Amino acid sequence: MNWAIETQNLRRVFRGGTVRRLWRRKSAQNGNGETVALDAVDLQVKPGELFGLLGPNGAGKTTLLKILSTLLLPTSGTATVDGIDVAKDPERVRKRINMVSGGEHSGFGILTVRETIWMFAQFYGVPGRVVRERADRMMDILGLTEFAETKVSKLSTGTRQKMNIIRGFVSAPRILYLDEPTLGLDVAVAREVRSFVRAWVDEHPERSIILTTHYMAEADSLCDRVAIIDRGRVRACDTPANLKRDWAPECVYRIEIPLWTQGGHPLDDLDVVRSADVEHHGDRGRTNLRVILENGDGIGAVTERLSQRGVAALSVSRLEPTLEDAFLNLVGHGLAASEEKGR
Amino acid sequence: MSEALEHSDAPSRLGPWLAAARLGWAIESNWADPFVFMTYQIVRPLFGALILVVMFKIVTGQPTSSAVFGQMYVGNAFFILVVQCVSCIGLVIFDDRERYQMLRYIYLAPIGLGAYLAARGMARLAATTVSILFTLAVGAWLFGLRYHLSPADLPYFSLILILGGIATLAMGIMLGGSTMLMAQNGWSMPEGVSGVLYLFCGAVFSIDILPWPFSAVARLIPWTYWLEGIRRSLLGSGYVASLAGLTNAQILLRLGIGTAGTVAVAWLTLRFAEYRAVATGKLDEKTDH
Repeated sequence: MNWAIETQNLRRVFRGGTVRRLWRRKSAQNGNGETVALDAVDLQVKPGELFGLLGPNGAGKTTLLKILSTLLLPTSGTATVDGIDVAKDPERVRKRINMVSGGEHSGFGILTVRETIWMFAQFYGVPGRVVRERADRMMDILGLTEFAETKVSKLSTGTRQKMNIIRGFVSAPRILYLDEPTLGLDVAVAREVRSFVRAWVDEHPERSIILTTHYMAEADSLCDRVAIIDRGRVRACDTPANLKRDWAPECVYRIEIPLWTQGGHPLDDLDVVRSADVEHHGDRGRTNLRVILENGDGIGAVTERLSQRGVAALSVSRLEPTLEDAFLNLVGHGLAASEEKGR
Repeated sequence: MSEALEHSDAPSRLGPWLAAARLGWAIESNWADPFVFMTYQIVRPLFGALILVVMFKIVTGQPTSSAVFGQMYVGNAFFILVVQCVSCIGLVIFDDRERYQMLRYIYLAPIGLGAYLAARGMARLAATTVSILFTLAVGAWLFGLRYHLSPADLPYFSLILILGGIATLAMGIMLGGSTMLMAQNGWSMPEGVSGVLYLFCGAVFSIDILPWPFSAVARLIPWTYWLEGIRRSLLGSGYVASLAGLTNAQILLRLGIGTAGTVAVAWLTLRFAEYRAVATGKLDEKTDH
């Protein structure tokens, strides 16, 4: 098969001062002061696929994207884009790709939105007539038409990011890298961006998008397949549905009880309970338990234990497993926890 | 074949380049507004020239009608081009990486970093031409300088200007390329280099007064022959006594060889800097210091 992206045994090690700034995860450093940002990464992305790289900050997602986009050389291993080796023939790779990064304040403030889009389309050799059509259509979809003649310096973060999204898509690249494209955006703008991305992939079934994110819901709702990456290694790679099925087989229940004030939770010594998260809502006089059980049969033991302790279960509902549950099982901690460690 | 490949496998060479030059022009000409820009382009070089006039009169005690004054004035007026272009291109990488955060997107585009830097420099070159013309006009009006550019000299003069422009752009690209490997605090390096060139190419002082190792360097760099050719074309005589034995064609040849050498070194520097920046991850690393 001709893969859109293929990596084999890809490895990237950072050395010296650069390491300290870029990668603060002491746990990933070896004794020589080196940081292994990527290790033995084997991935294949099909043409037409919207492929997600899911992981916490510092997991190696951006490093992988930088290598695939020719911004960074791998230390060892190979990576090909549209069949072309990124290290051996980067110029040919660049003709086939484009990139949009989130969470930055990028743009030439002196240019208008339309001028910026036109300029980059020119850099990619897109004819003027095609640029106009594509830019007008994309600005219309993303609600940017009224800002077309506005200087970039006057744009809000969200509007600027929409412009950057169009800048990335206007060349209609074979492979597009979206690095945390919704980072720092408000909910409404992030939703617009996601819809735009999904619609574009559906409209262009032969083109691929590689999306990095640490938003579980974004990966779940957008991506055809997801690779979960942590500390430079790919822990699993499959469709979101398969990941949830294979890596989050437990039964998860939400149980509402009257406010629990005795510390811990009322199920802490029950064998069938693998873990339980507790949320107290003092204003409502309620405590919510999110309980993960070994299997579905354990719920009887749970209600019985609550009854023994004189705690009324006000409501019990079974939750569908989420990508976060799969992530938790694969990596051993949630995204929030790993970001805390990273600091 | 996909739409993207149809566009990008055979892109127009001129379109991307003009787009980059247009960006350069927008940045160069709109840093405040066109009026202030023109004032900046005229007042600054003009006062630079006036300072030179005062220094000349105080140090030499000669009138501005002397031949030496004309040689100094013209050399100084044209050297503005080197200062402006080298500084401009030398700062593009810093600006695009640190301030605009767009360097990675430009690098990924098929235009190529060398062509992009050259286009940005061309915009400054066009803007600086205004400064040079105005300074020359003031020289004629206030100090009585007479320029002797005959139609017969025009092809020679044009070739001299073009080769000097290419050498200057190449020097800018060389410095711009090397700044990929530097933190933002290396911003003064391009200005420093143009200061060294000012001394070595005989813009004001003849290279004959330089001690040996420096005079040898002066004979290697293209700007020495560029200014000599300009002076011969505009003023009818050269400035450097030790080059007086060279014909105009020999000056042009030396300028051509020097320009070719500068272009080659610039290309190698850019390729090496690109490779190192990509190998170490510095290409799009915002330094903030």
